Amino acid sequence: MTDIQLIGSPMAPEAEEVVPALVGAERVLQPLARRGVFRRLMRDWTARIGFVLVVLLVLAAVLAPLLAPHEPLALDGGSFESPSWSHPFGTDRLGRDLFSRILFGARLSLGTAFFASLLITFAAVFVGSVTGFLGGAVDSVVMRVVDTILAFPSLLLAIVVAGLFKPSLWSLMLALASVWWVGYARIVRGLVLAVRERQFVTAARVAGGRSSRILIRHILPNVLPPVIVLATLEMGTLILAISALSFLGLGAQPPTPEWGAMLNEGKNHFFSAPHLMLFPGLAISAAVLGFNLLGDGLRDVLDPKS
Amino acid sequence: MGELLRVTDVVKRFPVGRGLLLRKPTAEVHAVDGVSFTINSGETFALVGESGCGKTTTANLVLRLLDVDAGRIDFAGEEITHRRGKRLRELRRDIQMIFQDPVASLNPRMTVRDIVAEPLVAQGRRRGATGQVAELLERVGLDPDHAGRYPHEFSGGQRQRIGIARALALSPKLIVCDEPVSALDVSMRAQVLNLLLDLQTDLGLTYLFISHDLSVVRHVCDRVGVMYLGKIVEVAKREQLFGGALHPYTQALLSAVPVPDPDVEVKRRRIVLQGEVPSPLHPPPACRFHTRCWKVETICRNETPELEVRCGQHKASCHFAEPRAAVEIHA
Repeated sequence: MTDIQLIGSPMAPEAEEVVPALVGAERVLQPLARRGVFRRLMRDWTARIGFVLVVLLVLAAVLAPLLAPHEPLALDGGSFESPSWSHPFGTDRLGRDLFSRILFGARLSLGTAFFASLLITFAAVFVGSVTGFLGGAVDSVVMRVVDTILAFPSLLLAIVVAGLFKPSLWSLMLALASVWWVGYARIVRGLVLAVRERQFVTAARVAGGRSSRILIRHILPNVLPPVIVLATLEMGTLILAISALSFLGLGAQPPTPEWGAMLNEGKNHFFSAPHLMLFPGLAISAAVLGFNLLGDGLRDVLDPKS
Repeated sequence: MGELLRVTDVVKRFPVGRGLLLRKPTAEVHAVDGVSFTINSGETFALVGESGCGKTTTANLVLRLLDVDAGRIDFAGEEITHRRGKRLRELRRDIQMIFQDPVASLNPRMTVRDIVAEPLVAQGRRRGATGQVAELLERVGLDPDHAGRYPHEFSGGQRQRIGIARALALSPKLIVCDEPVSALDVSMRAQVLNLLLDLQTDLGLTYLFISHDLSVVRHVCDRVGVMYLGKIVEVAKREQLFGGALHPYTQALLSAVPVPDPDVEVKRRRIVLQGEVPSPLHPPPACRFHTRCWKVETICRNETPELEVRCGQHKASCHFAEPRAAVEIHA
């Protein structure tokens, strides 16, 4: 079959000729692996920095027991030692090695943020896709609830929810998730509404597909890429929120080496031993920066419209 | 050649401008307003008209993608107007669709194999689907070895063939073709149209063909219904319609089609309609065409002309239906 392009056919221009953006969008929606998303991501140097930062932090978290020169909870140094060869980041008030504590803290901070993010994404994709797909009364009621939660500053609301439970990383994570999912749910719903109107969904209905099948096979795969970008971008915000709440004493409790909690412990000795706040602060900044850069890069790669 | 589809006085209105608090529509678009037609087994029936005349809405009503507000639809001797759930999904096996836009109607994240197998899987006929997909692809002139590719790897014409293969998967009786070639390059139109005709001959298909392009309609259709503002104004066999249209609107439409013969083209006298199509929110009373018709008389503004048989199977809804004189055409 030969598809010859005729010049001057204003009635039926070939799609590629007239709307390159449309074709771009279509190509981008291919499964990520096939599209070489990673390769294109690495072309952007800011995304590369983000990727390296995130990989380093994840490695630090995973390999903490191998990398840490000391036990994170062991009192094996003098109080408030400045950074030295045996204690690269110095020691805290009780003589615990700060570097080891930050490595182990990566597990808690990143892990909590990751699971919170998973929880949020699942809740949001479920609620957002069901309401967006079904519409009607379910949609109206659930979205009013979402609006109500969105009306409060989310960090403040998370503090209230976390305050209802015994302070721990788990309750903190649940508190954050219970507040954070609403914004995602709205976005997912919007995406579902847009995809639902696309013609291949009509085609699936004509084929006789059940609603559940249409939602899972046709709508969700086209909604997920932007959700992945959002989740990556929000990892930074979540890490910050977890640290903030831990700093306020609502999350990890001493002696747990969580970055926010470490900041809290260090704040009383800021002038005499600034490294106690400097290094956890740098760790938080690195994580936030890493995820933001990576998320930005992903968005550019996955969404040609921005 | 029995009757396969009968559409009787179907009406579809879309509410617009809902109020803020009370969910009460402030106005309605009269998209389809009392449309009736029948399609016989094995024939191609075309609905033609300008954008917004309700032809696509009519197609969606037949496909039961939309619910009618009034009227009834019978398919193969059974009323299908209010079928739902399982019975509606069963009906889908017999009525399939080919879409206008071969880019938008194929899920970009699915392989061609999955797309063409979609109706089979959705109807619980997963077994043997792969072999069937290969047959279907071959049937529409695509290489079965390309089944693992994604839609964007194909050209427009090939993508439309994928859509056709999907429509054929369930061996339907009726296929609704909604402007199946208007998004295609002119060079590919004839190929796709001929494919549709071949498939009709081989498989005994019946087509409801939606188009605004009279030259395409002339090429493929047996009978034609002309729509204007939600109503059918004229129904005739192809030869009757193209040989001697009775309704002024049809005559105006036909006069706008360019003639390939330059001598005739020079002599051709076009009927240029005045004004725009009135808004379907407030369609004109009585004859809907009276605001733009050159034959308009008082009766056109007061009495709705019925879609009446004029000669043979030729129906037109006009108080002054008569063929356009040959003198007028070539003068």
